[in-house]
Amino acid sequence: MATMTVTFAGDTAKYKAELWNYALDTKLADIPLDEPYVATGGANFGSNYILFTPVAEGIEFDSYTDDVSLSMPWKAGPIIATINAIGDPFPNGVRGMYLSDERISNVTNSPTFNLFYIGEVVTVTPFNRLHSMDDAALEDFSEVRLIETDVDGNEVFNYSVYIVNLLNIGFELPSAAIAGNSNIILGSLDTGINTPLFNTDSVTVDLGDIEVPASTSSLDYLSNTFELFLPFVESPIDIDPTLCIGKTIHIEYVIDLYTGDMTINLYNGEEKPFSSTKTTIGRNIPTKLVGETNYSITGTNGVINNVLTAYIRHTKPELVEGQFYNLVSKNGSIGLYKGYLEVDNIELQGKALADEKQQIISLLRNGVIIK
Amino acid sequence: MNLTLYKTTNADNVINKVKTDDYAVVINLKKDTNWLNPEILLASIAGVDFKDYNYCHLDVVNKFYFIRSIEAMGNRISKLICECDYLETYKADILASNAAFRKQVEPGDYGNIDLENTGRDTISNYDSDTSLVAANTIILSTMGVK
Repeated sequence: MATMTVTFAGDTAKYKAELWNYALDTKLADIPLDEPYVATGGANFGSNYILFTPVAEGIEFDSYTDDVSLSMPWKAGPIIATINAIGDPFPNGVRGMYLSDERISNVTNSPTFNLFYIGEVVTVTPFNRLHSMDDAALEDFSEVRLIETDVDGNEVFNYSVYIVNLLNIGFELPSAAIAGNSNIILGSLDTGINTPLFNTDSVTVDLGDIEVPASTSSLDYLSNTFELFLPFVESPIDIDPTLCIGKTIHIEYVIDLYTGDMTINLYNGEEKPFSSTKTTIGRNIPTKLVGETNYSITGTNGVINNVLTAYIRHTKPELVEGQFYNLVSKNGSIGLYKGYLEVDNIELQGKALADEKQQIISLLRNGVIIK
Repeated sequence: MNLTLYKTTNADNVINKVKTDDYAVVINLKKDTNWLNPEILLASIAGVDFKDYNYCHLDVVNKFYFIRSIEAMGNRISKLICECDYLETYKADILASNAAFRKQVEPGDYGNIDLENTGRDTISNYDSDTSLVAANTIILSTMGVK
């Protein structure tokens, strides 16, 4: 059986890959891009292909190249071209690499595929830039002369007015949110400090999935509470038991990089979130600049709670035991039930005398036990 | 008519009482007997202590009775003070009737319930499969592009 080991390199963080069979139109497996992949021949091998898709909306791929010379080379250039060779049943933006049986059989080396991408759709307004700052960049920035003065030393212009905010967030943002580098420019002042640039002003952070066990008792829906505790968020979010019992809760933060305003979206298997909550995280770093521009100290938004993993706290109260507590209203034939019950109203059938019926109804209202 | 004596340990408000040690006696009652609260005179029977019984049934009216007390009427006569047990006497009618009622909640029930808790809780935590990575991420937002 022919096999071939494929190694992926380059911008693999921008891709996810799956093994599909074209003839069956079926996904066969996920392909990790951070380790070598062994492609194996088989009955439908001639129809297998590696399907690449963007890891996030807005990423635009360019091409891949292989670094070995094959007797039947992999087609370079836009990846979509190989898909076109066997038809294009895929949505826009999905690119594939065709693994023909003939190609595999002719491979004598283990190729490495360098994956490239053009960039990502930038959603930051043309008037603004969002720089990712490390300590060195911050230190350099602190030494930039932001004030123009005249010959007498009087302030003519203060470029710090072009600083919108300096926001500190206590966790890593997805690498897909970074695209390229740029100098920090304030108005017409190019500081010469080059930093990575965010390609969007609204970053989505995946906080993963939480599986809530199923329940066999409807009482859990009535009495139990489910609170979602989140990193850097002050108050837990109460989740209705019907929305989470036996479901997988997916959590995402959507963060406004200008302000730290954040939307918490919760999903439970549906395409649309069942809950969206707005809060604010991060810290506006106090940057007291010379001149008339003063940034007040605003403190920390959200909380520093030493929590990096979201979790759901399930609180199940212990009900008072005993048949005389925790009563639920019912309608129907009394004879269908056992145990203690209190009758509110009854259409009493039978041949008992009127006074006897009144006695019976009184006894039933006071509570009876059916054995 | 027949009087059947029983023992029961069930409470008065139980329907479908468990009745044991039945002992049947043939009796005669006065014509003006109150069938809801009869007083029944019994002559002593060798080997039978009426005080061991707390429940009875009269076949002539097909009613069940609590024996509320027993009075000695001389050396050989005892008087049983009885009170009708409506729940047991008419249980077939009661159990066949439709009603609006409240019963003890159990799995499968739904609706508005004022649950009474002991104050003790069982707490479980379910963790996400993904964690944030702590970092000092700093974002400088600026205006103006050269």
